Amino acid sequence: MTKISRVPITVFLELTKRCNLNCLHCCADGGQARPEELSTEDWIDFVRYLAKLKVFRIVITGGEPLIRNDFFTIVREIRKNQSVVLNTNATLVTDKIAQQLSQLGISVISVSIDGSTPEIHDRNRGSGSFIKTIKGIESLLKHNCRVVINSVVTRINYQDIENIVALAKRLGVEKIGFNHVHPTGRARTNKEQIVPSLEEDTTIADELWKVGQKYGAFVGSWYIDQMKLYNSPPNPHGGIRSISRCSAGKETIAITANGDIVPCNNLQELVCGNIRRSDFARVWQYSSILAEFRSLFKLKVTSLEGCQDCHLVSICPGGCRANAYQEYGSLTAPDPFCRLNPINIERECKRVHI
Amino acid sequence: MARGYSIHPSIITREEEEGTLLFNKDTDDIKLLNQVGFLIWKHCDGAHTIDQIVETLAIQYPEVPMDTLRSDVKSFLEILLSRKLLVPAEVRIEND
Repeated sequence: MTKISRVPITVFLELTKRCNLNCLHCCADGGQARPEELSTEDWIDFVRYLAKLKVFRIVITGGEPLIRNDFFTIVREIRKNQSVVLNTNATLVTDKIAQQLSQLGISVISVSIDGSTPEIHDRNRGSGSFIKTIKGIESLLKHNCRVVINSVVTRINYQDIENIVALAKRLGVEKIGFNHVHPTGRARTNKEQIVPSLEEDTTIADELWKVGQKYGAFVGSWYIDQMKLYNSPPNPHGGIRSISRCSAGKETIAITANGDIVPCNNLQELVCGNIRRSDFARVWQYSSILAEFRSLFKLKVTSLEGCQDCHLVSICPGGCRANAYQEYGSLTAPDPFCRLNPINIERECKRVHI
Repeated sequence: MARGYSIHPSIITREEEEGTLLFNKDTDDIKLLNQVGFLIWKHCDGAHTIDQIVETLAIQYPEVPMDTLRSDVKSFLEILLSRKLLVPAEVRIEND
């Protein structure tokens, strides 16, 4: 789909900011509940409204969604008309919870693992979390849930990548994805400790490329996609590409724990409305903030700062706008993880010298 | 009785500018139908046989040979069936 959908295909619901862990890289800044988090009734009413609009898919995020006592009440309502993807740390998954998730027919359960051993994983996520997560995954698999692992690559775990993949294989999950840190929430506070430098990113990309060759489609990663891009020849007939990397504002949108409507979970500053006070469908169609956000996708990638002279403008879709905004405060800044952009290189030079 | 198709009970449909979206809420599968696809889809109601669907299309597209139409419709329906967007149905025909 290239045009803006009449209503979103997928809506991300951040059920709560509450979390039982306190991960260094948490871009949602999960931990304590925020003021005015939505009640059970708020979520149920909203989910029923989304069903009337024929929103197809709900992705449940947090915080840790399973920490809510009403989690299954909300998900049961969603499953009457929609599919559900669940993002969880799995530490709260007991055998009984795994069975309930299985019975509800959750499409995919995405579990976070950031290390192949307790020493590495728990350095980021807190003591004792590794064992609980592994047990949670085992329970989910025992009850035939579809499980994928999501791993965030940081300075703490980047030398453990292949071991993490081997662990995922041993566990028997469907696949594993490696993402970079989103520079927002606690990831911003703990940046020096966790966000790899561009030089370390090169090592990470090389390692993931190698692991990707070995394990094939079992391993997915933004880093591998970026390597493919960097290794691709420019398209001599392609002209300059438009900015087009993601589906935020085109097919997807997110609701925060307090009901704010935002283009994506990593752009919680760009509040387009609140489901308690605004009509969601009208916000989707008429929000000036969303209109401005969508107008980005009409721009050529050469409109992005530092991208004008890049040899890949015919094939590069311009990277993540949320990351650009979080790092540089502008939606037309470069994706901070592009290793070719001169603005990023200058930033890294300063970082190294500090 | 003759063979036809019904819409899978887990399917939600939605009109968009680019066509009709079919979504299976249990398999998480989405398919976009164009105009021709939607015309076939509309007749997957448990009341039309495959031959009747082909005949409907033949009226809309008289320039296309019947054999081609029949083969294309059957292939299309098999794809929708394999993706759990349709279920087989026995259609009562008038001579039954």
